[in-house]
Amino acid sequence: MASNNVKNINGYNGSSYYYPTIIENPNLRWESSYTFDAALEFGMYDDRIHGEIGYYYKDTRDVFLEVQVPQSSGFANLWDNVGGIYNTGIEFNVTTRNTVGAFKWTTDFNIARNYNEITSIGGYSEDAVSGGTNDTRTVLGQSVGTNFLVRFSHVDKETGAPVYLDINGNETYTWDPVDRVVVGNVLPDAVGGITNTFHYKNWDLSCLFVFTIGENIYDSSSKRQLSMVTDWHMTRHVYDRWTQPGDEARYPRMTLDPANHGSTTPWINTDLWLHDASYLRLRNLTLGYSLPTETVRRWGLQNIRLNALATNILTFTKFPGVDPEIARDFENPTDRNMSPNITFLTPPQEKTYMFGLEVQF
Amino acid sequence: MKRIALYFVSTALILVSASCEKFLDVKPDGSLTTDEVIVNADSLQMFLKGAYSSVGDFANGNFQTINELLSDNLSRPNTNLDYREIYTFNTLFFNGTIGGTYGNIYRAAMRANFVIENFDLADDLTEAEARFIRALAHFEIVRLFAHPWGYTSDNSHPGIMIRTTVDFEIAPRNTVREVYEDLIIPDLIFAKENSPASNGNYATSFAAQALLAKVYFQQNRLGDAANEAAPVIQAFPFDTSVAGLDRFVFGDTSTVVSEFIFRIVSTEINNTVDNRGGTFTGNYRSDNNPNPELRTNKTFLNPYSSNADDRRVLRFFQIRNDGAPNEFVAISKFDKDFISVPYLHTTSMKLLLAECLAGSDPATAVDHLNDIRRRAYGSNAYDLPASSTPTEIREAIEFERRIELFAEGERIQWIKRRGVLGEQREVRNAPWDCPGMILQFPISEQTDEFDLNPTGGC
Repeated sequence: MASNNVKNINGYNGSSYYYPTIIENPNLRWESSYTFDAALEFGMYDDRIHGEIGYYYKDTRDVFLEVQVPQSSGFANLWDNVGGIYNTGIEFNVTTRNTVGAFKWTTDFNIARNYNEITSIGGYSEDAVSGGTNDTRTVLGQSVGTNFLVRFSHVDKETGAPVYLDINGNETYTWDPVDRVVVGNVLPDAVGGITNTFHYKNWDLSCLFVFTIGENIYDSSSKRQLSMVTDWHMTRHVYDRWTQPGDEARYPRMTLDPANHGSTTPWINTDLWLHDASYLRLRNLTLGYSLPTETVRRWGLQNIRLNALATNILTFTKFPGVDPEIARDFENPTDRNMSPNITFLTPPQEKTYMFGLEVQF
Repeated sequence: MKRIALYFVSTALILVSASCEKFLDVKPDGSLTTDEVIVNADSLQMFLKGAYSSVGDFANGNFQTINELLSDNLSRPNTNLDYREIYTFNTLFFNGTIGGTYGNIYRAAMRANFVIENFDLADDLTEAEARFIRALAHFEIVRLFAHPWGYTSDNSHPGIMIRTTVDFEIAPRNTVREVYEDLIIPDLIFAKENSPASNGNYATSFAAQALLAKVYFQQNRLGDAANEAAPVIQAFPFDTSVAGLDRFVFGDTSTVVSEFIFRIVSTEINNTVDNRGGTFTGNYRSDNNPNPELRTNKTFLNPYSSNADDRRVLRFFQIRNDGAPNEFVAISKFDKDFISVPYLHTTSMKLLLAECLAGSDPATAVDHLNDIRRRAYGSNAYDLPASSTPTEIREAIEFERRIELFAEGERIQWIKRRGVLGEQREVRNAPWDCPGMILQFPISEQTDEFDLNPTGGC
């Protein structure tokens, strides 16, 4: 043994003691990355239209990560060079000056598609580097934070019991985590935003929409809020549950006993709680008015501008949770890296209305 | 298109290579390196005490409770979902209680291995104690996570991973035969032969012998078990006083101390208590909690409470909400702030020895059993007759074992041992050898080489 770290504790049988805290890893080394970037910037029609299109590819090897080691080692975690991952993406933005002169209208648009894939996890099991709370997994050939869940099929019309799919796709009434498979899209097909800005005389108006297309969010709290009764409140969506034979319901019968949902635990992770989180959101709406320059200068000032700003006042989405633009309160750094699309009672972003007065001296 | 101006094209191939190598060697705050610490036999003793402390992290009621939940001693847990999973014989690899206990037990083995690996600084005594702890850890894990000795004729069924070094290598499960014969028994024989006869609250040769007796007993090697148990009982006399019924006490009392072969001790220093019995008191305590997590029922209690002279019923059990739908039997045995845990004690050795001798020396077996009965009933009015048959003796032993060792986690392993002998044993209609009678491993164990248990169900 060379250099396990040890701690000195005051403690057992009235006597202090030492114990090893970390298992040494003499092979630890820095991760390495190979990056390729290319971009094309363009302008046309006297720069009435200009923009940029970019591409990147980053291949990272010997990824440095704290992984879970078999508990039979007597330790819980270990820093190690785990495997490989590549990130690639394309980004595009364009600005157009649609009208010039007294009435100015400018549009800024951007869109990006980003993708990553795990190329190696060294000798570790996929669950050892998963992060998350049993709802994501590190899967070779898939993106980081891929949801790994038992598939939900439907609600049994006669009994109200949930019907799951086993690992072979056969229907079963038993929920067993060995039947987990890769489901959903942890990465969106595209993200972006569009801003339209208008100027007319002393008035200006700006409007920013942001959007995400094709991402799934796993609403982890749903398993306690939609028919499995624990010590939590239900959400209003629970009205769409099975209540009597013949019901075609989205959610199973309400119960206190996990056995009625085919499990011994109420922590039943299935893709029933995995939702399309595509959205279009009015992020900012700003209306401004600048007082006439002559008037302001007469008062010995440079500029006076009044404005009104509204944030997040409109969202268009099918996501049933409180906010499609969230991530959960992560438990640790691994969780943050490896489990990005989970929400668990995460508070929504606030809507704000602000009124401002800008005075320049 | 009128004009396209190509302003900028860039490509880059960047290799970010190793730098700041020393960052990878940064020592966490508050820690020392082993090179700084292991300097002599005394410092290695400090590590040995760390291994004992680890035993206190799982023998504080954790592994006992898991065992007890698999048995027919308890009612359904009040609210704890992990416990309910165990109780219904269908444990999943995400069960945090099981994972935590599993990790704690192996941590004790790791700390013991750390001492053994640095044995060149130690003496035989230190290694003997470390091997006692390592054997204890493996014994408790293999009994929870693998079917019992005798489940297959050659014991080639999957056991657990034997850990004899401090590393994180992945490996397949050893067979149950290997776990017993390659690790547990050799370790305990070494510990028995090299440990001191007296060692304060730490392991002695008698502790190793007592644990070896339990191991042989689990294997149904009754003659060997008897040979190990008998001298231990002589060295740690049975407490015949009524106070001897209560072995879960804090500190050393003058009455029951004679029975403590090996204890997990709670201590108080400067008004601060290092409590090593918290899972017992937390789960069972009922004097300050109207809804204790763990309780039993009249099905368990009635055979004992029908005898008004049974002091154990009066002292340790209370019927609550009698006759109402929410009736239950509360356990008052753990109505204390702090307790030490008697892991090996004379009462269990006597019950073990009596059963070992029931066939070969029934008269001695009856004597041991009657010692226990006289303490329980306060007289010899309920003595088992000396003329009792081996079957009658065994039935009487089972009756006494169940209440004497209540909550200690022995019941289910005893049921399995009897099942191996061909008896039709069930718990809540689940046969002793059904898949759910063993626990699922935590998911961290799953590798290409290590197969988890099948998901339970009985």
